[in-house]
Amino acid sequence: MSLAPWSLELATTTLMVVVLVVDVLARHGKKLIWGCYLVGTVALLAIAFFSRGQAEILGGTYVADGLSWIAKIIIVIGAGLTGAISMSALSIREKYHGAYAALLLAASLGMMVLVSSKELITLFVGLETSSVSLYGLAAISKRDDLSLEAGIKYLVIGALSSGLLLYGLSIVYVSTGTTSLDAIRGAVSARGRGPLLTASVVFVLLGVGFKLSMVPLHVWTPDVYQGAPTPVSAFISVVSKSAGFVFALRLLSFAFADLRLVWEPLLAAAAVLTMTVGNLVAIPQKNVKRLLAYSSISQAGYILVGFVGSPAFGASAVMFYLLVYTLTNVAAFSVVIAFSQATGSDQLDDYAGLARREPLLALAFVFALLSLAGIPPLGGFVGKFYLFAAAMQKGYLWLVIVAALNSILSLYYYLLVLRRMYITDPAVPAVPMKTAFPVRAVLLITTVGIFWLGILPGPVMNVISEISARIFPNM
Amino acid sequence: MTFPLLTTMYGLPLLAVLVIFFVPERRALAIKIVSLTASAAALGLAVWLFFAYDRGVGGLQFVERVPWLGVLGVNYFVGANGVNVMLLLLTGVIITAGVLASWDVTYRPKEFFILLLTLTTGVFGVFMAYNLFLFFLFYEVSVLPMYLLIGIWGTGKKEYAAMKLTLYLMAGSALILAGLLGLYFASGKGSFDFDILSTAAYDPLFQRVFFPILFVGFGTLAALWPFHTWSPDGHSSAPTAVSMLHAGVLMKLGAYGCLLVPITLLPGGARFWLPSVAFLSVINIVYGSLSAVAQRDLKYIVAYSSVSHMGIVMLGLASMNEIALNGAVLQMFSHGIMTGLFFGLVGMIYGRSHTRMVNEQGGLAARTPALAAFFVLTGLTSLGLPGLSGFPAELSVFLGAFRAYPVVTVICVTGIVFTAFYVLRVVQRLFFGRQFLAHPASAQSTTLGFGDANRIELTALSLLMLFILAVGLYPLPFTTLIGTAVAPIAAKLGGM
Repeated sequence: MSLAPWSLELATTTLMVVVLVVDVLARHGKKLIWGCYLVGTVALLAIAFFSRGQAEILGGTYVADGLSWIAKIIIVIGAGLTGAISMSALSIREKYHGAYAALLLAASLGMMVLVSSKELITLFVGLETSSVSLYGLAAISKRDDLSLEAGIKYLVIGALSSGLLLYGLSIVYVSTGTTSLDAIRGAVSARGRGPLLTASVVFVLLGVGFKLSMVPLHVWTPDVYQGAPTPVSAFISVVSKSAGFVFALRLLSFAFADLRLVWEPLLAAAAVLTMTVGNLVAIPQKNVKRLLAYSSISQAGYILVGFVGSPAFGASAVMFYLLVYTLTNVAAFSVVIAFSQATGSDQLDDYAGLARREPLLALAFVFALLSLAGIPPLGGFVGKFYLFAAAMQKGYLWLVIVAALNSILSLYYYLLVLRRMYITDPAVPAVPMKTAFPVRAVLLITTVGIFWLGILPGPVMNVISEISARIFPNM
Repeated sequence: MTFPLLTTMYGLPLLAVLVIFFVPERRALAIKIVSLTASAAALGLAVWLFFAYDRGVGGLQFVERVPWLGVLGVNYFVGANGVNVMLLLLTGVIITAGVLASWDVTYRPKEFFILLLTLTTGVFGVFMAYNLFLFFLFYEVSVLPMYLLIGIWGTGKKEYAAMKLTLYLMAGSALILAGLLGLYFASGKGSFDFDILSTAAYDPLFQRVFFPILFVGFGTLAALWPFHTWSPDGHSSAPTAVSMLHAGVLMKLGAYGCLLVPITLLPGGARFWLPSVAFLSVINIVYGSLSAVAQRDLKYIVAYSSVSHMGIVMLGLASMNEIALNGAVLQMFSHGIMTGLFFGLVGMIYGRSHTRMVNEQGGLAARTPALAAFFVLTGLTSLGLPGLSGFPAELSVFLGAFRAYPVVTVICVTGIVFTAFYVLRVVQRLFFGRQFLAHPASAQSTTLGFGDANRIELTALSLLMLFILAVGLYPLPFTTLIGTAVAPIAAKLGGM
């Protein structure tokens, strides 16, 4: 058995162990821990990038294919950037830094398993590994009531949705007699749609919907994003969500391809609800983390629009958007981190006059927000164009119009942030702020990435569409 | 490889944006000089393009086409036909005059010129893009900077106006996006290139459904009634150069979009829907000019006059025959320059008297003879006096429109009477009669204590006036140029 398809998972596990050992051996080893972490994630990225290939192990339950390749790159990028913004921004006691870094890696490991597995039980193990680690991360500021509350809320709702998902998967097993996605796909197309399978689709959607913060399963999102340490919010909002979408692609677009008539209208409705609720509730928000929480709910809605497209086109649009969204949302959260470190505030009103105070920081926020709104020449524009094109190809004109109008709705509250930063005069004397070097580096990397994916996305798009053409052939 | 003239044209303001980004804010003069150099150079290229364009050959010239996003069938594809040449020239003129008119901006000049030139980049891009993805990209780039330009440097209820304008126009662009994607898939050609899309045969039902989606999307920016309400608020709150650019160029962008995409690509839909558009444009013309009569604020008067004049453009587009289309494009050019002059003059008057109310000042001509002379000429252009650019443009539109919709056209012509009324009344009150200036705060009449236009202002005004006179006195080179581009469209529409 070749180790190649596992290389990234093994390397991540090794790094996790190294971090834990360093934590035990070195006293006050915060710098050392993060040094290991960052060097390690750069190495992980290299491994992830060069381990592209097509392989199946464990009798086809665990695969390395294009979809898992892209997803793992997104996971590693997300984990690395989150680490970089965590090291200076984390307001927890120094002795917890080791545990924190290890949990980040454990969560990433779980997601890697999730995106690589083609079998229900392996899927579920990956999902739970990542979820349990995330519960711990959300509650890591033990002395902060909000953080504890976030952890508990996340745990309770997460456990509930895992239960629903597991129930749905058990029905799938009962009605198809197998847990392998390939076999399920075959069984579904042979048997056609029955009441049991239809029920299982609903349960699976409810379970996955939690990860994706799909309305009406989104209620945990704002509280967790606000309460959890900001880097953790960033991590949950991009990496966990991306993994969830890849999971949904495997399950719905691939295994349940012949149940499309059941889940496609459900997802179209969920997309409309998710975008609209996310955007409408984002408008009155006063806290920037809650604003980003609702904005990320609506982003999930746009991504769901891609699901209704034809599998190959839709999947490539979803993957491309996930890449853009990861960079963009990390950039937005990094600005929030930089700001709250300097001022101790997450209130939007305190952003007044930021453009006079820290022009570059404000500019980075503008680019991130406008990319989320889908304004050219930023990555979000190309991404949304791609997603909407996927839906339009199937003739979903109404959905595209609703989604495009929703983008305008979101532009409204992003512009309200712009107004505070650029038009409103600062309430307090404008003192220049100090932004930690790693945060600045992350902002630079993500902003360059946002522009790159907006102006020259061609090569990335070609690779992604090749991949999805291979995974979803003739569909 | 030939010199990429068109790319350079929008590349210059973009380059200036990057340069200004690295100039410290306190060196305001350097920032302004960079802006002026870039816009004047772009204008130079536009003038050169005007003369270099081969009228005998017609069609798209100076084409640059490079593959860009293969998956979606997107090429980097720019080119210019007769209409583009005119509109690029208009953009160059207005931005150069606009930078000159903003010479006295002292509040946050760096951000101001960065945003102004970003906007210009987008506008130049729209007027040359022949791939609809690229077109849409530039379109959005040219709309968004407006929010901050009005929000930061505007006057009055600026934040409301800025938000309203931005959301209206972006809602329009949401429709455009849906429409463009519809065209892409309905054509079945897998390309966003305009020339490829225009060879596709679209189903008649598809044409009837998508024509209004696209037309309303673009029409919002052209202030088509009832989607025009952003325009008076936006234009009157914006700083001088932004009003000039917005009313002068951006509204043309909407009309140009209507002409390029729905009318040219969906002729079947056009024949079905354009009579209704003609009806809406009557409302634009008559309602716009009547509203202008009712206003007391100079900027509101000019803004409503824009709504009315854009109605003439829309009427021309709706008439579907060559002479009306030609007039519509010429009217875009003429109105762009004219409204640029108007907003520039209003800004200059406001800079001196600190009020924009017509009834709070009078007899300004004694102090500012040059401003008065320019204002009178602009006003006369607006009411269509022969010898000035408004005359040939409006005449062709009405001639063409009369063939298509005689009754409608007769009603529209009454708009000219109202225009004459409000223009002459403003001229009379503002510049002639008793000299006085009533400060809104003190309500006391004081004598005027300011001078005439300075050299920079005169340069800006003369530059604009030059084109009004050129088109007015010798329209032939302009109309033949436009004719090369609109004749094929008229043939496709089959109008009389």
